[in-house]
Amino acid sequence: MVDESLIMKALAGVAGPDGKTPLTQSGAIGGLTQRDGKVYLSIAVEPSRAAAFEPMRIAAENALKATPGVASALVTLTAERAPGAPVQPGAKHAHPPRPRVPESVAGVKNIIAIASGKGGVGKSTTAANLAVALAKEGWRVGLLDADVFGPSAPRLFGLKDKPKVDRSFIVPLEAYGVKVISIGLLIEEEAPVVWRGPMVMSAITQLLREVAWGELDCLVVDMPPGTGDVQLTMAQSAPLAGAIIVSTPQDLALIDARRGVAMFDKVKIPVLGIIENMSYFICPHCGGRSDIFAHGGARHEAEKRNVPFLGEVPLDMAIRETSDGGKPIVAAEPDGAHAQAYRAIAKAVIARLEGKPQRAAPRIVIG
Amino acid sequence: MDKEQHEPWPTEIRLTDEGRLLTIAFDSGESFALESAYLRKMTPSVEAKRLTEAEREKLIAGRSARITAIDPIGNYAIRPTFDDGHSTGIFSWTYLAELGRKARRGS
Repeated sequence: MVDESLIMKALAGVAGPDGKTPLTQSGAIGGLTQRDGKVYLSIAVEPSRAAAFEPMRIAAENALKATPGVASALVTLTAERAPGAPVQPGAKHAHPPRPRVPESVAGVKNIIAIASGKGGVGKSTTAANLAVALAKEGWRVGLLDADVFGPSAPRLFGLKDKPKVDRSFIVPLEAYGVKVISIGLLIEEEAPVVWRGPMVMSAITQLLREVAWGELDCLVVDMPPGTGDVQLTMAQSAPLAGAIIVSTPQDLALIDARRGVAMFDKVKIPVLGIIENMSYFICPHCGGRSDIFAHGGARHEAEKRNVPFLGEVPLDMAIRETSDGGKPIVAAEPDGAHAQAYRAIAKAVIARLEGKPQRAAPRIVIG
Repeated sequence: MDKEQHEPWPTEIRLTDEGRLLTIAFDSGESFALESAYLRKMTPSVEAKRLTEAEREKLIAGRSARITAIDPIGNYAIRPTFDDGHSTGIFSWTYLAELGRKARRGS
C-alpha cells in the first residue's frame, strides 16, 4: 500500500487542465485507486480538447512512477461534460458534436456524384473522362471510386501502386492531373468483395472521411449503379453539390435513370444533368451511323424531368480501348472528337456549379 | 428545377431553452418555434409509424423530452437526439415546415 499523501504530493507538482493550478487542487481528479503498487488515476477533461491534455496525462503518469513504492502507474483521461453545460439527465451517452463537413473533404469546393440507374451504361468511363476533362479546364480534381463491388478506377487510370498512409489519412494516387482513390487500390484486382450492407457503408464512409484530398475544386464520386444503401449513405454523409445521371438512350435504361433522378430529388441534391452515353455508333468501315440503343432518349427524358441535358457521347472503339488501356480518351487524344464531347460536358458542369450558388446549409445553433 | 425553388429551405435552426425549443427560420421569411416534446411525439422514425395518436401521446407523457444533440443529414434534414435516447427520426426541411404550420393552426 503506497502512502496516499506521497501520491498527492507527487500529483501536486503537476499542473492541472488550466495549466497552472496543481492537479490536486484543480478538481479534475476523477478517481484514484491502487492495488499491489499499481496506481490508477483518472482525470476528467472536456472531451473536445482531450488531445491537448495528453502532455498533462504523461506528466502525471511520470510523477506517479517516480513516487516511492509505486511499481506502475496508469493515468487515463475521462470525458466529462463540459463545465457549465446543461446537465442531461437520462441521456444514455453524450454525443460529441460531429462536424457537418468531414475534415477530409473540408477543402473540397464541390462534390458531385456520377450515378446511373442501372449498370453497364458506361458510368465509370464517363466519370473518369469527365474528371480528366475538368482537370484540363484548370480545376483541381479528385475522383472517388465508390463502386465497392466493381471498382474500375485503377484500371481506367492505369494505377497499380498501393496508396500510402500519412498520419492516418490515405494519400490518393495521381494520374492525368486527377487525384484518385478506389477500393480497388486497397484490395487485389481479382479479389471479390463479398460484403454485407453495413460493411459497404463503413467502407464508403472511410473512403470519404479518411482520404487526404487537400484543396480541390471538385471531387467526382463514381457511384455504384442503382438507388440503394450506398447512394443514400453518400447523400447523407457528404454535402453533395449535385448529381449527374448517365444513361444509354434505350428505354430500359431510361426507366432506371428516372429512378436515379427521383432519388436525388428526395434527398434534395440538385441533378446537374443527364448525359447520354453510347448515343450512336459510326461504323469504322463504312462510316454509316447506327443508333444501336436508339437515340435522343436521354435528351427527351431530361426535358420531361426539367433537368439539363449535358451532352451525348458515341459508342466508339477508341473510347473502350483507351479505357481498358488505362489512359482515358480525354488524356490520350485531348483534341479528338470524343475528348471534345467530354470537354464540352465538363464546361457545362463548371458553368452550372459556378453559376448556381449552392444553397447553404442552415446554421445549427445550440443554446 | 422550378419546383425546388418553392420548397422551404431553412436558414437557421436554433435550439434554446435547454433543448426544449427548436426554432427554424426559412428563407421564405417564415419562422416556426417547435417544442421538443411535440417533435418527439411527431417523430417520423419508422418505429413510430404505426403508433396511434394516443400511443404517440404516451411517448412524452409527463416529460419535457428535451433535445440533447442535432446531427445534420446531407442537404435535406436533421436528426435530433432526445433525452430518452431516441435518435432515429430524420426530420426533413419539408416535414419541419409542415409541423410548424400544423402547430401554428393549433391542431
